[in-house]
Amino acid sequence: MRAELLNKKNIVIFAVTASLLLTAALTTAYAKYRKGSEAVENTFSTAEYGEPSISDNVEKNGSGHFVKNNLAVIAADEGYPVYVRAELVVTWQNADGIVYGSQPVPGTDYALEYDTDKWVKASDGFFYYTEKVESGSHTAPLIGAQQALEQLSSAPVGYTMHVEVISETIQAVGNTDDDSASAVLSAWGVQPDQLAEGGQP
Amino acid sequence: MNRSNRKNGFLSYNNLLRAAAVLFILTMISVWWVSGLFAKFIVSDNRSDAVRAAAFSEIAVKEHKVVYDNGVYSLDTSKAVSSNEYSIVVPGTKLPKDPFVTIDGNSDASGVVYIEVNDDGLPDEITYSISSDWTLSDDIAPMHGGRIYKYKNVLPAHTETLIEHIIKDDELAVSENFRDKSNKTKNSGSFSMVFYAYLIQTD
Repeated sequence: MRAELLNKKNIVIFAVTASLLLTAALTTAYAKYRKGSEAVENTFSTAEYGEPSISDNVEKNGSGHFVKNNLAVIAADEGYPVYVRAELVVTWQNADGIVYGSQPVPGTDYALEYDTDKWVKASDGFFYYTEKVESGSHTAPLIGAQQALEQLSSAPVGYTMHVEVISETIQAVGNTDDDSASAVLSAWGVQPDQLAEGGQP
Repeated sequence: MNRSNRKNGFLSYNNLLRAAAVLFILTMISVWWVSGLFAKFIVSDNRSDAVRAAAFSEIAVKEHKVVYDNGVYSLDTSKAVSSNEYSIVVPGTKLPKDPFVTIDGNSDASGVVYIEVNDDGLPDEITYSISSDWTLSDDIAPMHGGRIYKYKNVLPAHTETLIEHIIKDDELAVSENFRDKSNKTKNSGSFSMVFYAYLIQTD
């Protein structure tokens, strides 16, 4: 009885040892013949669209008329350069913000001097800045310190001259998917750094 | 249970003997098999025969460091890195990316190179192609949830190797439609892309 039990114990011990050896042998054989590398990982983050802002000065001249100067556009700080365009919307408005029925006429109701070195007025009415603007930087003034948008005539009764500056920016890098046009040309129809005064967008 | 039942049951003496014999035979087979593989790499010279364990190459995948300057990415080919960050992805631009595989010349056996690419998180508007030197493969199972590609050539033993231009033109293309000013939530956030490389001995 005792001998039989000892035999069975020995058999079990032998079986366990053999199975461990088998596992070790197979594992060793597998590890020898396959090598893997560490990872190369990239992370990507989308660029943001930031709205531009305006810097300007508004005052009254000796006749008590509206004067705007030192007008520049500031690009948002989003990490990439942009092109800039601006539109000046001149109206007569009353204290409640109601717009007068007819618009002020350039040359009659107001005069505009602006920087023609860096800005070009296209046929669509926009002023295009002819250079890329770095992220967070500002354009040269559209209306400089020695220039002005100046009211010439008297406003309708109860109304004052009001100038709204609408500015837009667009990425100055990148093209369409077929590489046929730059992003700005595709979106605005104009390449600002090649635009002539009065040119078609 | 009486003595005759123990003798004839599942854990009977005879069955245990049989199981032990089977395990012993399997162990011997596996040892012979492994030994037989090692026997391929016997090195001998004029004076004596020496047997040593087989050497196998190290494989690595790297890429050149990406540099961002004023809206444009470029590669600094003097620096090889294991990760790059493209922190400002602008629609309509190209993102240079040039993973390459290096294998040292220490292998005593020829091998096949595979890469695994996991781009699950990449938006559809960021596209790329794998070079025609690689073909989609199911020879091995992906270890990281990616797709497996097999290199066209078997690498001979004792050959240091550099495999470049894994991505066609070494760049990713960002569609002009990647982001829309009127839809600020589209493709917002961060994405990732991961490459691995494997070297597997040929038969």
